Amino acid sequence: MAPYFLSLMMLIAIAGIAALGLNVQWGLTGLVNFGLFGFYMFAAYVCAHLTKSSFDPWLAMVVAVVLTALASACVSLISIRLSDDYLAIVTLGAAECLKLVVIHEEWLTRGSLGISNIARPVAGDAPLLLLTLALLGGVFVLFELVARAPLGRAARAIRDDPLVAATLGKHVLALRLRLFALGGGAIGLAGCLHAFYYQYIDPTQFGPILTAYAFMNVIIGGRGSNRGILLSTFTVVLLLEGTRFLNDYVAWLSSSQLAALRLMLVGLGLILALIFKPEGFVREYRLKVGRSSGAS
Amino acid sequence: MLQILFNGLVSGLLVALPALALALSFSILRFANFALGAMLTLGAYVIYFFNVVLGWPIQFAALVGIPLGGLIAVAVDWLVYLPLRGRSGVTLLVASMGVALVMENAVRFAAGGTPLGYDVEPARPTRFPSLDVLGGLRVNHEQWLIAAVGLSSLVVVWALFSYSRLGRAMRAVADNAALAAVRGVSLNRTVAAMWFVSGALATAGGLLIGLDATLDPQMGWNYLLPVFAAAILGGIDKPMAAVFGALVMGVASELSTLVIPSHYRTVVAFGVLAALLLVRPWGVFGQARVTR
Amino acid sequence: MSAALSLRRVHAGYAGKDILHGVDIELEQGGALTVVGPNGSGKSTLLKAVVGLLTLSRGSIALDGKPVEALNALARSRLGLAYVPQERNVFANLTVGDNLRLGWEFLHPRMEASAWRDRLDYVLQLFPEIRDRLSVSAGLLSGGQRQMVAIASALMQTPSLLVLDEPSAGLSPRNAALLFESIARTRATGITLLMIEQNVKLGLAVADRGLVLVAGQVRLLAPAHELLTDDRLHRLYLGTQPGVPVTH
Repeated sequence: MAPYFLSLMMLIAIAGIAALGLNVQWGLTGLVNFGLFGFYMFAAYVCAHLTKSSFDPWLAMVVAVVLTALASACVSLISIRLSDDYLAIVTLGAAECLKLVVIHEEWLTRGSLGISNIARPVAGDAPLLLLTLALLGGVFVLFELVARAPLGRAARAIRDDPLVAATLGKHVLALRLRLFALGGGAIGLAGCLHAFYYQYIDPTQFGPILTAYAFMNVIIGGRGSNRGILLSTFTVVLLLEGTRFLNDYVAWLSSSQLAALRLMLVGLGLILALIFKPEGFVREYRLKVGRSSGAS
Repeated sequence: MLQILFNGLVSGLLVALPALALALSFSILRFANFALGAMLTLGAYVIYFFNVVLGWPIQFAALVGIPLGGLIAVAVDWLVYLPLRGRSGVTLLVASMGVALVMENAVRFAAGGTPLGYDVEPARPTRFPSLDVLGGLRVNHEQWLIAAVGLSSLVVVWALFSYSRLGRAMRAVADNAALAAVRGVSLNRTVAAMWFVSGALATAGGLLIGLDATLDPQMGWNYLLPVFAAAILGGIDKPMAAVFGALVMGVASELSTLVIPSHYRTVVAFGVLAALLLVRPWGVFGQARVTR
Repeated sequence: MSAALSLRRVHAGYAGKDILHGVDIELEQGGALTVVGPNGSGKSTLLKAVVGLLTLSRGSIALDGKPVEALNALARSRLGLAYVPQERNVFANLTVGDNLRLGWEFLHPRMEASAWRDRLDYVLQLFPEIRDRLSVSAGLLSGGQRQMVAIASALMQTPSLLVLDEPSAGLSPRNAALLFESIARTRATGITLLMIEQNVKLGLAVADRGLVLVAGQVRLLAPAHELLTDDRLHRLYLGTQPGVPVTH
């Protein structure tokens, strides 16, 4: 039981970090990252590759996170001046193209064979979990500080009022870029931890499912609310992983059918959450200034 | 060379129908429908059901399947997008992602992941010996079907859009929804009609893609990027211009196979998309708008 | 016979804050009322409430005796109300011909398609300047012609009540005068007209009565020709004396 509990906590923690990253991009700044899985995969591969090339795993992790943040910045630059729909397709496109490269450029990524025997920064499952939880805590604290800082307040103002955005011009672009990169870094961190945990990565592990999970966590948790997101990640992953048990009881469905069913539930969950609980379950942090003003 | 151009135009037709569907829904509802790929897939499989499971000839399967695809799109709008009407474009975007997940995995659940094929009579390809001097031209049976169905669909939609009362309503709502309402145009009915056309087009597109290659649950998803690139190239708020974008994308994609392995076609589409967005986001025929 | 338009104790505004405070208006069939007033007096709000783009916080509105305060703009257009907004009042991407045809076809759905041409001829007599622009994209027209297309499109609806929001806005004095010639011709066909106008002289010239709205309340209601020289109007509107030109 303990190993299962441990792996569950790992999944929750990694998903939590990715969701927090998406929350900075989308919840706080209003930028739609439909290519989340691509950045996650990018970090995992960079980290794995470096570690296999005898880099120290800690260093590999740092490098991967930084590179992912930079990659996020570069990709978002393509459409940062345009409306959100464009960013959505650009990030999606970048992720899909990256996946193709990972699959076909075997000299770099070993293609479908994947990269195995990835060394960890700390030995043992339990220490790795502790490290992951510590990182989760660190990311949480950092992003809470960002949300309360002028940077965060500016981002919220721009997200909520396009007129403010229009009048601020260039500053808005720089702000968006920085926040998208910051969120991208967190997503990258999650990807590294993924590589360390499984110690084996291949292209089939990464797909739009990851993006969907993260979006669902952010929506249910409440866009902008980091606490809510941690809560919802815990619940959602628990529920979804719980359905794996159904394999044994629902023999008349094949495992691939169950997987498809699970994804249908995620999709349905996304839709229902948007329709019925767009604010999520925990309200976003707002600076209280006496009576609430009309603008917020 | 002629063969490559022809293949490119046929590829372009495959992209044109869904690109038109995308541009239609964008021009009226102002959101990018990421479920379009899934609609393509679902439509293709619906026709497969009539054609292979029920054994109908492909023409009848298509005749029934295409309007059915339109109705499914209207139902999805009623269930998902209507409750979200008035919310931000981003909310609709994410909702369409949810719809895509449900549709694509419903197909996977029902039909599994192995590639399937339509039941079409095999026929010999037509050769054009007189064109051998230009490199020769060979048109196979599926390509004739694709050209016939594709071109006739486009002509029908173009006529509808430009000359019919419904087409005027759609153009009016896309231009100025508030004014359309005071001139007696029902937004809900126009939107429902638009979804019917969009869904039917997507289904027809799925049929053509299934004829060109095979059916698998990922087929529509794989076309998302080229379809978006085509629509943006044409000018995403000018529906008929999407057809132009698609033909250009088709030819470009075929030409690229001369230098790049064919599995990287998606990368070509992405490259075109990125270049467009950096240089001319309103496309060739769209209206230049103030970027933010 | 019931009044074409009747407002009783209407209060309306935005985001919980009322801008109109108890407005009463009676407009008889075939009458013409021009509403004037300083900026911010609530003229636009009044029109939006009449047309159905705004819900009332209190009071009632009736068209031909039928209560309409619960109906939206689409429903009211089906009852014979035609509205010409101040801005974005044509479909810029459609041709003039398509604009005009659209004005007709959704409010006469069961009539023959060709019947619209008869109405078109009739409306073009009132607005002859746009007769030869039918295949031009409406967005490419000059300001004055665009206003004409806007009003002509509304007339294609064969309305019983025509509501105009500052028709002279943004037009040169010459174009404004030309436009109002067409409005006068329209008025002469016997249609009921409700208009708000900044150009008091032009606005009151085509009306039976004028109404001065200040801070969301009716301050003055009088026959149009009397109002123009009434010193109360000048004080309420501009704080000036009669004899000082009111138009700008």
